[in-house]
Amino acid sequence: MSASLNGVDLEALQQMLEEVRARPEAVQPRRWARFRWEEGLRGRVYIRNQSFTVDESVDRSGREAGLSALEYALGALGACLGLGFVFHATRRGIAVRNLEVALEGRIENLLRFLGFEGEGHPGYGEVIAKAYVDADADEETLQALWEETVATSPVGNTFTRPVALRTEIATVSGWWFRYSPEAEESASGSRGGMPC
Amino acid sequence: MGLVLNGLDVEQLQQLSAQVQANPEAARSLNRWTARVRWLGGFKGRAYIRNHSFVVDEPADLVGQDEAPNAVEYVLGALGACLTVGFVLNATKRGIPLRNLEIALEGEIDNILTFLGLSQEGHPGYREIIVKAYVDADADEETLRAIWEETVVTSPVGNTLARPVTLRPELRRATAA
Repeated sequence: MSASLNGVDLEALQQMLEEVRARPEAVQPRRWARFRWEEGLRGRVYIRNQSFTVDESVDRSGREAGLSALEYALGALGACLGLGFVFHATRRGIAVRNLEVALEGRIENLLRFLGFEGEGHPGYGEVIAKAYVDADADEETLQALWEETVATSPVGNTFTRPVALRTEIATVSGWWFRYSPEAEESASGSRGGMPC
Repeated sequence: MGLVLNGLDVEQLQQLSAQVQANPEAARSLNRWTARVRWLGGFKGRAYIRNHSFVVDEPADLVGQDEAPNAVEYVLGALGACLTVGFVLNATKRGIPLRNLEIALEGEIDNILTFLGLSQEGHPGYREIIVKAYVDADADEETLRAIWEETVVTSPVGNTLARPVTLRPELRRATAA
C-alpha cells in the first residue's frame, strides 16, 4: 500500500486521474438503478451489487423500515458535497481530520403530492448545506476548496439545474416479475465511479 | 384496521387526506426535511436522518471499498422510489389493486470530467434521466397511463430534479476538541 492521505490511497488516486486524462471517453457517464415495490408505501432500490429500502409510511405507528425518497435525495447531496470536499482537499495534499455536512431542505408545497390544489410544486425549492470541517489549512484555503466543491458537485449540479426526465410506462403480466433483481448481473459494472 | 388495498389501510389514507384538507397549516411541517452526513475516511460517509442512517461509498476502481452506492446512484434510487410510492398512492386512492410494480432508471451525467477539473465544458450533474415503469395491475392501459402521468407531475423528487433548486452552501471551520 502506498502513501495514503485522508484514507485515500494517493497512488491509486493519481493513477485514476492519469487514466481519465489519457482516455476521457472511457469514463462511463451513465448510472443505473431499479426500484421494486414491496407493499404499501415500501420498496427496495437495487443498484449494482447494493440495495436499500425506501419507506414513506412515516406515521404514528413508527413501523417504517426505511427513509423516504426525499430524505435519500437530501442525504445524497450531503454525501456528494462532503466526499467531494475530501477529494479536492486530498488532491491538494491537505489533511482533513473531521468533516460533517448538515442539510435542511424546504419543500415548496408537499400537499401537491397528496393531490391537493395549491401554489408551488411538491419538490425542494431550497436546500441549505452547512459544512463543518477540521483540517490542516487556513480559512481562506478551505473556503476556496468548498466553493470549488459546490461548483463541481455532480449531485449539486443535478439539484441546481433542470434535469430532463423521460418517463414511460408499460403494462406487463405477472411472469415479468418472476426473476429476482438480486440475481441479475449488473449492466453497469463498477467503471466510472467518482466520489459522488 | 379497515380495508387494506396494496398493503395500505384505505381508511387511514382517507383520514390523512381529510385532516390535511381541514387544516392545511398543520401539514406545513412536512415541508421541511433534514439530514446530516459524517465523513468516515477515504471516500466513505454516513448519512444520518431521523432514526435511520445509510452509508455512501465508491466503487472499488476509484479507491473506494464499494461498501454502498455512491451519491449520484442514491439520487436515481430516490427518484425511482418516489415515483413508485406516488404510483401506489394514486392507484390506491382510485381503488385499483396492483400486483407488481418495478421502475428501471438510467441517468446520464452531462460531463463528469468537470468534477475532476479536467474539462470546462458542461457540468457534472445529470443531464437526462430515463425512467421506465413496469406495472401489473387490474386496470386498463389508459387508466394506468393517466395515473402514471399524475404521479410524474406530482412527484416530490421528480420536481426537485426537473426544476432548478436554490442551493445555499456554507462552510465553517471547526477545531478538534
